[in-house]
Amino acid sequence: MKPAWPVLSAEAARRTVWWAALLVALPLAVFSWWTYLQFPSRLQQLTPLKQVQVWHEELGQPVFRQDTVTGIVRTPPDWAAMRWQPAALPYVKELGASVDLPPDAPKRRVWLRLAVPEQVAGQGRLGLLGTRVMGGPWAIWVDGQLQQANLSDWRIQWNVPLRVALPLGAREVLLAVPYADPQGFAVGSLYVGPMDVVDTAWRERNFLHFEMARLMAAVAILMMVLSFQLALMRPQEPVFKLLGINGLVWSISCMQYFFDSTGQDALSVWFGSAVDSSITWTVVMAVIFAFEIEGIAVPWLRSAMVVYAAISTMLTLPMWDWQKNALIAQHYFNVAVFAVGLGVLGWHVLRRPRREGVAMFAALATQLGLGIHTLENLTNQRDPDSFFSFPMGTLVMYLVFMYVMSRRSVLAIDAAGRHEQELRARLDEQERHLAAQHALLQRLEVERRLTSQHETIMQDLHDRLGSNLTSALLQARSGVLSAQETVLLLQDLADELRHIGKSTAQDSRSLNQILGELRQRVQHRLAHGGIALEWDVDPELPPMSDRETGQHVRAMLSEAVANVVKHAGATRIRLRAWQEAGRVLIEVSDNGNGFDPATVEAGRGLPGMRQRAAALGGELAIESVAGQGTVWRLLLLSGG
Amino acid sequence: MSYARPSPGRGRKSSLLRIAVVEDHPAFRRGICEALESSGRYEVLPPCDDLPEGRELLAHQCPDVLLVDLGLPTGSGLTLIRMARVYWGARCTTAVLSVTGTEIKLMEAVAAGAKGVLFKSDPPQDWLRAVQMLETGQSPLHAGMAGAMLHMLDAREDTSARWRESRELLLLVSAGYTLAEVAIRTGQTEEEVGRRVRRVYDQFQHPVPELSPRELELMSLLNRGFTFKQCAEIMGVSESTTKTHSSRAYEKLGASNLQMALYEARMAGLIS
Repeated sequence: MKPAWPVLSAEAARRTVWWAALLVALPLAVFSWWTYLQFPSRLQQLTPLKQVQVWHEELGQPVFRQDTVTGIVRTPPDWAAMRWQPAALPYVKELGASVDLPPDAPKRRVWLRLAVPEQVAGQGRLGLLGTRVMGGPWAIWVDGQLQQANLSDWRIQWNVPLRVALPLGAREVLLAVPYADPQGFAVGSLYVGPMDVVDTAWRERNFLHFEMARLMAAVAILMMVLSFQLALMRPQEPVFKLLGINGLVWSISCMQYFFDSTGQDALSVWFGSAVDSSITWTVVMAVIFAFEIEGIAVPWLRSAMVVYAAISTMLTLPMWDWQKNALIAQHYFNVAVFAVGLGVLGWHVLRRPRREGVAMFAALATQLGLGIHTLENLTNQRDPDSFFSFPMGTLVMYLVFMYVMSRRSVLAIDAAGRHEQELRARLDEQERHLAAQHALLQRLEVERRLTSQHETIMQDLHDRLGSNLTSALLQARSGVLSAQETVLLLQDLADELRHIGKSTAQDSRSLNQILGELRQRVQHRLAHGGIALEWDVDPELPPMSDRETGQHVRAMLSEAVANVVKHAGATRIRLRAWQEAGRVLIEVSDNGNGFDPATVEAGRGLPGMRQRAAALGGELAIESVAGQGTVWRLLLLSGG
Repeated sequence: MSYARPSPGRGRKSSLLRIAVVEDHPAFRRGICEALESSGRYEVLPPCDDLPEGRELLAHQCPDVLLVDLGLPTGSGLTLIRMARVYWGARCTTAVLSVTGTEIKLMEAVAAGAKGVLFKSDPPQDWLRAVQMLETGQSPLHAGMAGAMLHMLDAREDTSARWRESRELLLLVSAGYTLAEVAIRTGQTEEEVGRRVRRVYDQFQHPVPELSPRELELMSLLNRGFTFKQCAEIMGVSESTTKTHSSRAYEKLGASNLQMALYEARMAGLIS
């Protein structure tokens, strides 16, 4: 069949793919450069608030629940007790080192006093934008009135930029964040500007915080579905399962970008635990996957990593009341485990560098770096303006993993193709060999058959014509042949000729056919000798089993009839053939002189006949009484 | 002017049965002709020694019995057997002259229309007996050929009365019984048995395409190289009529074009 497309060589096809990728990538790059890098960020059109004044309000030891927090947020402070201290943004109190966090730990509320700059006045409705607030639900107060609080999604507010519309003419704005003392808080940079600009800048920031992480979650889900499908089809290969589980646990982690548990305190705690533990499993699975692909045999390390992940998951369950700090500690342990795994992988890649190994090492190292970056800047609340980079690392890891898997598949397909080609070549070779042998065998068989046919014909010629010719010649030489006898002899020869070669043409002739042929051969002879032939043959005698049997029977009958013609002096000959109890009997009887079998047997070919009878497994009986004729009887087993 | 069947009566001199012999071996040809003539019952037509003479003879005369040797110098006698059948039908009875009697060859001749075999090594009285049977609607049969016929008959899936009758007859003959003995064993006259044998021969005869005289005339004209237009003029019909005749003839011959049709007609002995 003619292909619909011209067939490209592998090299040309590769060039085509590169060019196509370039044609797509180039305009995309120009577009990205123009839109994202050339245009100034909307954030720069806002006025940053660099200097603020802060006051920490003592709240006593309440437990942070949705209801208590709501009360705290809505309660105005003791305005008279406010003692302002100058501070710079971002303003943070880092996460304490203590793992133990009792629910009734001392609680405080930090107040930040912001002055709305003069230069933004007259630009219409103003808004406030904060890169990130970590801690309890924030609240904005203006002129002693609560303007807006974040009671609805404060559990995930660390990942949603702050955005508030200010009342017209607001000069002084207060931002309040309640916090537990050992946990601290973080308030990132704050900006003021016209509300429309605040909105667009918020969208910009939210893309980095939220949308991008969601996109990466979609990639993880896609990879998980693909991997599990492959794992189902090839359950004997652990890499697919490993990759699928990796995608699954990371998808659990990514649920924080889709679900908000604010308002359900117990669920919120368990959800947080699941999210953090899933990161542990993602890391462990990634390292084991790399080991599997690279064929690094470190079963003890693998087991240890899985045991570590299981134990750390157990230990950070909320039932131990260790709460958030335990989770943070878990992440530091993760970093350690990740580093060990990466070290082993790096050592292996150094010794046996492969494209896949190097790529995976680079990806995992990137992820570890970004994980540490996230841990150091965001998780411990040191730099609230920082970018939550760990999901980016996971994306890079997944892209590399997919590259590794597809390359592996392509190599496997190539190998299978080469293998098939090799097998086909071998098969072709064998087929040629077989065909040659077959031809040789056929030729040998034909030669064998020709030889055997030739031999049979020669044997026939010798047996049938040769002896008759010789005796005719001898008699003719001695001059004793009358014209009558000459005719008779030649007639015999001509009759014999009619039947030569037939025994080869038809391998299995029936006994009837042999007898019919015999009659044709001898009838002239008998008629000439004045001997009447009586024919009494059952027309449905069984067929002979093989050619030899037929030949023996034919020869014996010919001899028997010839004996009658030559020696008996008979005027009547009778041939009977019939079946009886599974046997076939052939009887040649005459009314001639008879003879004494004991004395004359040897001279009449009788030993040969007995031999033939024995060869057939039959019996030959000859009864003769001098002067009363002879009965010659052959007994054959039916079908024998 | 007609290129179709010639008149059978042309050249007939007496009321004797006319025998044609086509045989290339001179001594045997002389022997059989003498034997036939000396019987006083037959008029032997001028003997032919090869295919062209045989064709020429058959084109002009209808022998009552045609004796053909199969191995003629320029081809097989089968052609003459077919030709006789097409030209003269049942009026001419054909038999084969054979030395060795290889059954496969003989059965081919039977399929072409032969109704008997005369062995050259048989004594002359056997030949005369065979010819007499042939001209009286009977057929001779010997054991070997009966065996071959039995073999072919058993291969047919048939259980009709005619099949059983044939099988019974062939069994006896192939077991060595002469037709006279068969007659005694089955309680029939020899003549009845001879006719039955003829019917067995008929069963093994292949049909020949039966062209109408006009179709035959057209085919022989086309065979001589005339165009359809010329044929139409000669035959006194329109060209489209000749086309109709030819397409019918093609169909009967199982041919799809003129070349194939002429070949088939030649093989069937319709044209030469």
